[in-house]
Amino acid sequence: MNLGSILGLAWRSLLSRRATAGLTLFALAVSVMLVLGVEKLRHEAKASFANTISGTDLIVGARSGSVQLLLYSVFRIGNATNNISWKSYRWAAALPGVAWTVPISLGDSHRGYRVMGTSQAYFEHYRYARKRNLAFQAGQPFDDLFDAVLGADVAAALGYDLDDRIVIDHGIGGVGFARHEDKPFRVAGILAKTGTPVDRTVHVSLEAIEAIHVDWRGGTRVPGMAVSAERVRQMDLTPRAITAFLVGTTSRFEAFGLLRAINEHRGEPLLAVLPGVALQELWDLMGTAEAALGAISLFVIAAGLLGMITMLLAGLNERRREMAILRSVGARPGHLFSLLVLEATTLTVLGAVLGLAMMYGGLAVAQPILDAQYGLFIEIAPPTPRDWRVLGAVVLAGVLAGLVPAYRAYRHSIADGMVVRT
Amino acid sequence: MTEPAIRIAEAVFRWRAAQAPTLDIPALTVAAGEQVFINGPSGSGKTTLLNLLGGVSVPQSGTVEVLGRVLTALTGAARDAFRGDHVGFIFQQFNLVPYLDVVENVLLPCRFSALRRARAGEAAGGSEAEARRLLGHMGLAGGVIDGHRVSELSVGQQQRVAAARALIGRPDLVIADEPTSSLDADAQAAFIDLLFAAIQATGASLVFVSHDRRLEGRFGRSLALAEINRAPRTPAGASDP
Repeated sequence: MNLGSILGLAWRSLLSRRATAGLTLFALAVSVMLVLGVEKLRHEAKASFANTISGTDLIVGARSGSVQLLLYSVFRIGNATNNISWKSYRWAAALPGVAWTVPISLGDSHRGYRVMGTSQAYFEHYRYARKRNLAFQAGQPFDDLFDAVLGADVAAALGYDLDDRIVIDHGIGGVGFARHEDKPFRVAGILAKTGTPVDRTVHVSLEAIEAIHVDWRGGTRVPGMAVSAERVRQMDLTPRAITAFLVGTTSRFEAFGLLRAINEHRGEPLLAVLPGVALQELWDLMGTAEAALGAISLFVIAAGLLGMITMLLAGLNERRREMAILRSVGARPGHLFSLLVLEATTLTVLGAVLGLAMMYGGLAVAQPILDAQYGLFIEIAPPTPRDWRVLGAVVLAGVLAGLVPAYRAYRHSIADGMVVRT
Repeated sequence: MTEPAIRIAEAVFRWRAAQAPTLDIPALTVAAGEQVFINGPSGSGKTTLLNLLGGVSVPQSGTVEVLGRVLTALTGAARDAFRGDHVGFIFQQFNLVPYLDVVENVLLPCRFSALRRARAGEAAGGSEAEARRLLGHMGLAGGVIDGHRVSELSVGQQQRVAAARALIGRPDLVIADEPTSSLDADAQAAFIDLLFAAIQATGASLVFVSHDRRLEGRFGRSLALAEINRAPRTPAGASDP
């Protein structure tokens, strides 16, 4: 008597119960899909997260929390509690060991997308993923005062092309009540897709930020003090303050010295952070949610397996006759034990395979949506070693779960022998 | 074959040690090739006797010998294998595995016994042709066999499939337990005719257990289980767990 023959019986027996076995299989597949999908999302989110900024040695802003600084300066989430003075920025930029700086000025938006004032240095020094530079899919960096450079998503979502005119909204409230319609911008360049918040940003020069606010005080237009777009070009547009700046050092070892120097600056309370450390802190904050997701996935798997045990156990009573017949033709109680284990194994293996397929199917559907809605680009890659380990563990758990009905079948077959009393 | 098909000596079986024996058979011999009717109403220890002959249970004392093999001396696994190799069973009803088709049901013993698989395979055209040949002997033609689930067959047809299964791979002993009790009188006669013809073709011994004494005239020898079993009769239905 070989296992293959019993496997054949197990397969036929499951086929004869297609409806219940199919549903059980589907439940298992859904749970496998969830576990793999959650892990995939977590992994990709973390990677996409870590890819947002690269090649920058320090981020400097007004004193607050390092996570907050990272969030508003790099992720465009939340707001700065305070600005830093242009004087402090010039002071820091001149410190020995500083190779380059990129100033950032935030606070306005365009149809829901953040507007960021910066300098030409941004296009030269800002790097993402593995030290990749920003690239233009069209046009070039801003040159004129009222030039804007759009992130890939902004251009795609709003249908903008080069030389289109756009008006910046004051503040970041979404649909602006107050708009800088007197000073429209021309689209000078559109960046290539990066998979980072850069895609959802409108870039203008620092001077432009200053220019659209010359006749504004405290969030409203100063009455009777309208300055035309032409006149503003003649004015000194050196910013009084910026929101944050990125620093590149001449050597990595300089970063720690600079970090201390900036954090101890007496002129103004500043905060400098190492991007890698801040990213890790931010990720740790999400650790609880991550662990909760992991735990939920485990329970989902457990529920799927419990469903399978229930289905196999429920079938056993009406299968006592079948077991007795198998015994009469020479089956040992051990054969019936392995029959049930093999039924459970078949269900879980198929469930794992189907779950994997459903995960990839779901990914193929969700990929463009996640990319468009959340800027989270999920790569469709072959299963990782961890995925295989998860699948292996699920199958192993399925075999173990099969021991429960298998043991019952074994007990039945010893008690019943070849004759079942009905 | 010179060995008797069955030889039981002083076999005593109790379900529990403290209980009175269910079965206590001083002597029972069935010769090779013999066809024996055993009259066994419920409560006479019939189920226990079948389990002893099949090697599913062993007596606490005494010996059970089938085809010259002392079952009481074998391990449980060896008894299961021996049963699969040498004994074909037909039960009262629900004899078939519902998720296998007719031919697969007939070939079921070949899944568990290499000997019967080999013997069935020796036939011209291989084991499946042999299964169809046996089904044909039992009056089941291709139209009934193919394209039907076993649950769609009549009880009489199911019993004939069960008989073909009991005979596949030429076992030396066939044990039938009330195989005709679910059939009407015409079907009973037809079934027994077919069974006898098929058994004679293979030369197997037949033990036919039934409470229906109208059938006993067709057998060479008839025994009453109540007479060979010294154990006190227990009320019907309460004999075995």
